[in-house]
Amino acid sequence: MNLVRLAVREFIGMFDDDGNLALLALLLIAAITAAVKFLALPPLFGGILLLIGCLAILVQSVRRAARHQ
Amino acid sequence: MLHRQANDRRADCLAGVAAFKSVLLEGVEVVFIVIAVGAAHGQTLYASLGALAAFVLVMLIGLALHRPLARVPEKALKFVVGLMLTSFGIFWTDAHWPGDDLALLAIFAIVALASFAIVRWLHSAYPAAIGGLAR
Repeated sequence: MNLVRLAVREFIGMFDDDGNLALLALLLIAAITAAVKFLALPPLFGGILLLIGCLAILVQSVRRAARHQ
Repeated sequence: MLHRQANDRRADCLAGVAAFKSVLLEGVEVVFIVIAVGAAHGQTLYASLGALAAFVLVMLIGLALHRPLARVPEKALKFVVGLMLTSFGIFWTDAHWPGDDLALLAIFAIVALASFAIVRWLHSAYPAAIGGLAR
């Protein structure tokens, strides 16, 4: 079971180097999707918000990583 | 010492595991992309056949060119792949982008410019941290 747990952790680790970045990206996508589907946000605005949001999350992740070094 | 390391079976095993993880990750990414592209247009079968053909072709190219390929800078490759995946992901939000498919180039340009600006800022603001982050 330890081996299975280790293998699963390694597999997840290959995709998720920065958990905070991944979580924020997922939250951003969920929020924009909800806004487009339920709040009648124009899809083009949703796409632009996604672009700006992804870059903002990237900047925040890089700053945090640099501070920890 | 190098000759002794070359005969170290444990080093070979670790290198093999690291290489396997990298290749497995890239392979899984291909599966995700094929499913996303195929499902978006109702052509999963054709996308899968294309991926299978690409797999065979890459295997043959890798076998033929594995020595010069080992000299390709890994970090630069990962950087470009990250830019492309981010750009495609944003493009595929079905936002009816002005210019249709040409909008992908604009999105890529914006993401690339922002990423280069972040790297330059990182170099200037945290020069001591660059060594640790450069992995």
